[in-house]
Amino acid sequence: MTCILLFQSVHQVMKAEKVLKERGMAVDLIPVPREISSDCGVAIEVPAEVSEKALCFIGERGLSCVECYQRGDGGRFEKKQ
Amino acid sequence: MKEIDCRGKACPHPVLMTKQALEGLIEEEVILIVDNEAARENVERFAKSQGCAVTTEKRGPDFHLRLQKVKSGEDHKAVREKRDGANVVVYLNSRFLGIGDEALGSILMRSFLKTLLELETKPSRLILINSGVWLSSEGSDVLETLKTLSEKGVEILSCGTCLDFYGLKEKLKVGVVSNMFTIAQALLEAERVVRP
Repeated sequence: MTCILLFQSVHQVMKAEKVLKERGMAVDLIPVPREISSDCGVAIEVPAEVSEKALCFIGERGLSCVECYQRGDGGRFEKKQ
Repeated sequence: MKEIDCRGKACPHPVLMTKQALEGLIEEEVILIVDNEAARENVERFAKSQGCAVTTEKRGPDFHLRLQKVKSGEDHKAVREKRDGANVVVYLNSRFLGIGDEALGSILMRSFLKTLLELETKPSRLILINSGVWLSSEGSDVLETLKTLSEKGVEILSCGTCLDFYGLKEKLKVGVVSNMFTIAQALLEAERVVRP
């Protein structure tokens, strides 16, 4: 299972990706799934088990994730925060 | 038996020479001699696409390819057209999508390729040219995406000259090394070429 982190801007996504990669996390940039938003945007996908840690790392650098979704097995998205 | 010596010929000459040799050849054989791995691959792929059976023999530094024409070109063309259905080629001539900031271009390219995975309509081919070949090489962050596309039947062609230029020839991780002959032909034969 994975978590999808949404940010305010693509700049924030780029910064957050850098932070998480520096911490050695397996992150991926993905286009924001259609089910979540119809806006054009990119989001960060992280393994669900490390999502809390990812949020901490991002927070430490003054970045904040706007929304967080969990991708379930059936491909459905559930809002976490 | 006819022997054609392509040693020392630069890409795409070996393929062009193969094409000439195969024209008018029906159920006959021809031997093609090449002196490098890229030429061997390109000639073999081209010959197979033309309905030939290919057997390769390594002799010293050279490869001897025996091409046996099993079907006439016309039959094969018809088969190929039928199989392809909607022949859409996606042409990526840069590792970045769009013109502007490169970091943004890189993200957009990742998004584009990931989205191709999600869409039901898949292109038949993905052609990577110039810095586009970084996408299919070691260290690329879209390798997994390209591998999945390849598994789903999308043919990924990376320009050999470009791989060579960027020093990536040994680092290609997905798809095949291609040449201008195959690439130009794929572009001309496509029903639609998508250049995002």
